[in-house]
Amino acid sequence: MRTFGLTLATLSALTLANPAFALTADELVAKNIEAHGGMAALDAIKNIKAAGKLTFGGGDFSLDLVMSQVISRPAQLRSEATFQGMTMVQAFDGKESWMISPFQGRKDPQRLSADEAKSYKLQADIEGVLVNAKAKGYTVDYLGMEDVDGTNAHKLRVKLNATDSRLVFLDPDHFLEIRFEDRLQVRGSEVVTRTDIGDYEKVAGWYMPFYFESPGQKISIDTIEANAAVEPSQFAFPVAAAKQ
Amino acid sequence: MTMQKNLVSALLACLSASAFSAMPTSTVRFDQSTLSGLGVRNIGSAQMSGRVSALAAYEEKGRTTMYVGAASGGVWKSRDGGTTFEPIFDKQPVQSIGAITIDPNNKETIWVGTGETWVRNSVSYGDGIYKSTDGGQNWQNMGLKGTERINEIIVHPKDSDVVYACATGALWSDSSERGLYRSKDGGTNWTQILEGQSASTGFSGLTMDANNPDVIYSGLWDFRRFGWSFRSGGNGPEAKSNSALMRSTDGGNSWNSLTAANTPGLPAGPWGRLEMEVAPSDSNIVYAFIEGTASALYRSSDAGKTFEKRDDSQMMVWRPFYFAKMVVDPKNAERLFKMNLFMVASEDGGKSFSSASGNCHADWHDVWINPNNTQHLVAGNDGGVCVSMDGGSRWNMLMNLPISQFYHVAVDNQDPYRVYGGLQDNSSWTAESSYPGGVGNERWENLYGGDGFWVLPERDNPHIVYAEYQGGNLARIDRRTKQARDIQPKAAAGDKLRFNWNAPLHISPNDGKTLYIGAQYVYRTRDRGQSWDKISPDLTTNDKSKQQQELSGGITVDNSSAEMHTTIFAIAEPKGESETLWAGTDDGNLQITRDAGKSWTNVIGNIKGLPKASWVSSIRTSNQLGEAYVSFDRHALGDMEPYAYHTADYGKTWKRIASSLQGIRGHAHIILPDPVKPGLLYLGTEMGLWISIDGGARWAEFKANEFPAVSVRDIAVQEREHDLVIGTHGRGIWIVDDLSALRGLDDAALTAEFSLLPSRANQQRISGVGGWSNGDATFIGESASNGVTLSYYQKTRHIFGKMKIEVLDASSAVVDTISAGKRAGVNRITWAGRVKPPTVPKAAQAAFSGSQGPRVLPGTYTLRVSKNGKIYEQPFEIALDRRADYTLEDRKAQFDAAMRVHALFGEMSKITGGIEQMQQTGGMAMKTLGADSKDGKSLSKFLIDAQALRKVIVATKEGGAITGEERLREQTDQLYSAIMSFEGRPGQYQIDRIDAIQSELKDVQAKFGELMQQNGPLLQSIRSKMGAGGALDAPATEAQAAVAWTSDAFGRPYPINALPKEIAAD
Repeated sequence: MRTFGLTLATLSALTLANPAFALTADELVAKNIEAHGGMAALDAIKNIKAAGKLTFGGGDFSLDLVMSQVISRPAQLRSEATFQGMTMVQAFDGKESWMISPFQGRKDPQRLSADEAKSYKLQADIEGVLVNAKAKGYTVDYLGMEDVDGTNAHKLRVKLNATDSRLVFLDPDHFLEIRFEDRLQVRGSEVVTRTDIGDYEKVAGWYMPFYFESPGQKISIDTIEANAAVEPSQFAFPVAAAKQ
Repeated sequence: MTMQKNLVSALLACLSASAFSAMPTSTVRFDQSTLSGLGVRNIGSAQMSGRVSALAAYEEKGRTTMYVGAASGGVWKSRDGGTTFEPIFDKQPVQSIGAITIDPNNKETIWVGTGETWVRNSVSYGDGIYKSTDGGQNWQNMGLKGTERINEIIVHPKDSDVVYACATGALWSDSSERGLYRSKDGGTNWTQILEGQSASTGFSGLTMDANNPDVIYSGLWDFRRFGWSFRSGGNGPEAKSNSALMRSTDGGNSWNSLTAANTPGLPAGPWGRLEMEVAPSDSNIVYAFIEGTASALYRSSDAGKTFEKRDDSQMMVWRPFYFAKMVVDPKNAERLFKMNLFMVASEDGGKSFSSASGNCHADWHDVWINPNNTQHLVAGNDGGVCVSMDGGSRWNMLMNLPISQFYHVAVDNQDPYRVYGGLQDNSSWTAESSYPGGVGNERWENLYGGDGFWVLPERDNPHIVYAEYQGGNLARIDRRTKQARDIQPKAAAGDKLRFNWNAPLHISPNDGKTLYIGAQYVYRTRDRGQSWDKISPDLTTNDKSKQQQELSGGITVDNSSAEMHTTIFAIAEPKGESETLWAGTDDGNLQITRDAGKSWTNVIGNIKGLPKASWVSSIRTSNQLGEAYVSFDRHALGDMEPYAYHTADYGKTWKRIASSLQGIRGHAHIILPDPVKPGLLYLGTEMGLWISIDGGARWAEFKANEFPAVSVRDIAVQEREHDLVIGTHGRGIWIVDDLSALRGLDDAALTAEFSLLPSRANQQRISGVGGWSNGDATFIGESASNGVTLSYYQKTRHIFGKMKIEVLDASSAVVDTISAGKRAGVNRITWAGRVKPPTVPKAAQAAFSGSQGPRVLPGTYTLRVSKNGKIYEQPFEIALDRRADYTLEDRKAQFDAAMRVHALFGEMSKITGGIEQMQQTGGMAMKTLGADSKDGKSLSKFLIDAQALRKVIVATKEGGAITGEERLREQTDQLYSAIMSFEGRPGQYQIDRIDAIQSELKDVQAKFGELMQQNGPLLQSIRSKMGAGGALDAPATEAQAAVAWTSDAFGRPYPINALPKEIAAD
């Protein structure tokens, strides 16, 4: 009868070989906040307005839409994307989400299901999931290092609730997010969305990504304005418009 | 003795590896991150899928979640009963799966034992046991790394920390790292609680009484495979075997061996492979399959005290090493399934069995019975996964698991080129490398039968294909008629030909009609198999001790040609040297002839440091005379070290160019030199693909798109397209499009912070129509991109600030901007290759054809990258599709026509944009003037008249996608679509239609001009009353129009209620 297991020597060898394992989830989150610019800078940002380009496509097909997005504390979001003069709207008012999709001849707003609202809620969090995770009811675990397109990145798992989670990959040198991988239950099925992130620039003292890429979709931001004048009613379901 | 042998073998490997490590190496970083951005696409197929070795599943709230363990293709998860699957094990360093278990106490905890235990000749190996606590998203290796194969994992039904792992262990060598292991702390520590009596005795079965988890049965299995034979049990039916049936009643702390002597009803030994199952619903009922001189199913009705012989029919006892699994119905102790060539079912406690396989693929290995509906079965066999809803009478074969196991791959020169290959138990196939809509399952064409291996198209007549099934059963196939003529060479009187299971075929690169096949002799035909020339003597060692095929099997003789040894395995004729031929054997000879077979020289002795009897797994030559690359495979001797060598002088001297010391994992199947760039090498091993750019000094694992650590059995380069085609044994065929970027990588490029890399001339591939909506339950392989693909290298990931990529035309004007790839290493970006889309007037719904600009004209363009204050530029070519039946002049005519329509959209936008702007500001004016004022009334009429003109141009009815309303804009979109659908010269009727629409638009323009003129005094009056900013001028330019009609999209609402109803309604 023989016994096998991780010995102290093995553990120390592993630790020496990969100092990253010495980090904890809390330490990584702290480094991430510091890398962005610190909590004071983040706390001072009440809203952001972004404008840029949304591109769908692949191969020899490419569809560019002019896009804009407003995110406002505590958790409100309005995204617009315009194509041939028609504007698609996706919004989250802090509780529910709705959208207008005019491209096939209808401009009336539609309410989205609670499952579909999950991704909007995540986008509406101006702080991101790592900041104040506990207060938001999330748990963060550090899962070690994993390759992200040639970068050996720190991998954090943020459990959003019993069924939904987001993996966050941090660049090992700068501790900024370079990839999200969301796993959200929608109508009982898991929907997986991977988003690569980059082109960080400082806005109001906080490094913000200006580039997002998911399979078949890219967002390139030209400008981000912090603490702009934001009309609160734009996040609410447009009742009057719906009647028309 | 065995231990000594292993030590010697390991020492030899170290010695040769040390010699190897003296090679000079560069300090420039070259690793998997360098190459992962090259990209790779999988074309499958799932049409024939591949061997499934283990399954686990559960049903909850009406949804079935499945975990499928592929023999050599990783773990796949379905959350929807098999409609879709996701590979969840691709980041792990092995892909061979032996066992999958879901923790009965927590369905999110999944255990995977790596290393398949259906130990056929082509079986792979694993590296221990893995655990996931989040349903397979993340995995951790929990040890037992040296076990190579794990057959079963059982988690205690009341304590998730207590886990049993049944390790079959090493197949090709003795090993003490096998046995039954138990962990009491969730896998952190393991204790070997039972071991065999010899170093070749592992474990083949494990079962626990679900009602009393202290009762465990386990089967010890004495077995060994060699390149030339296999034994299950001892070295013959009557030889001593250490196989045994063990029983514990204290959770594995102590064990009793159940034998014929102490357990009435059990047969006398020797035994081979054993499998046993306790019925979940009745602890007293225990089934045991025992391989012996009279193999049969045995059943106990008193919890193992006594047994009774039950079924011993063919489908119970055939090939126990490959078919052993039994599964008992969780609700009905009398109902059980036994895997075999066909899965058979009994409903009378094993007294009788009948087929439960329907028309599904043969060779079954596992089945899951849904405890909530025991008619619902999910099973795995050599063809993939099948689902039955009627207890096994009829099966739905799932067509969405691309785990096909290719042995070899070849390409032809059609356009798109086709790929060819043969698969384990799944015949020989061909498909297009790329197809409109994707390379779906339906694109694959079956060519022959049996197990498939080499499949070679005749170079100039691709409808003629040579394919074989096991043992060199060669056929010439005419794809037009599907005729398959058997052309296998025959033995002379008194002789017997020895063809390997995977017998080598080779077509001369110098004469496409010359075909070689190897037995122990090399045969050559120059007339498509009408006649054969034997052009060599026996090139093998002809070691009679390794010619035991007919006796192979141990207790159960199994003569399938799988162990045919002392055979030729690899043949290669160099380009430009039709008199030279290389031949390598499975028993360690490497032969060369320089006179077309008149004389042969065995050069194996010139390879210093290579252990004897190494299996020549591949020989590839280059364009350089005298040069050859040879890989050797010693895994059948228990040595998994990769061996690859290079000669530049016809085999007189050799240099080792691959070793595990360089990070390469797995024994070597294939080494291939790039046909264009000297020193660029591709190495396929049992654990993946490695690439060297410096003749083997450094190797980088290829992990593009998370390319799994799957066995890479063969590689081909399609020389016209410069594509790398990878034949995997477990995950189908993959293609790296355009190797130009890889060929551009050298130390200078890798040292720079940023380097632009070359690309092949980008063709404007014809956008054909293909594919169909076949639902989600089918696999569609990815086709090559129709866009313009460009490449660059950056030393580190781009994190901060904008990185700008522009495309310039020949006049240095910016044609487009492209999003930049951010990754470290090689980046590939795709440009749609189109001019900007037209400015399309706003209407009730989108004009989809107008969303695209026409593709740019062929010619030379420039890629310009701005990064960190530096600018990098490089020209690139865009060409017509080489298949195009139109000329460049035709293409220009099409482009001009498309751009005329493009301009028409712009003109329309100018007019409608002006009207819309006036509607916008008109509303504000109306508020100021008052609707009942004179000017207000006049303004209202003016706006109504303007809106009427707008309605001539654009459709305004809302209400859904199909309003049937067509206006000039919609008609223009149809015309634009027609012209864009073909990039040759447009029809005159299309040109005429442009003129017609242009004419109609001019009429509207004229009327609009008249309207503006008629209302000039009114507008002037309002302008003076409204002051600055209130002007009702139409935009002067298209750009202004664009601003006007897009600006409202940013949340600035029309004062819509102030407008006349006729206008507001639109």
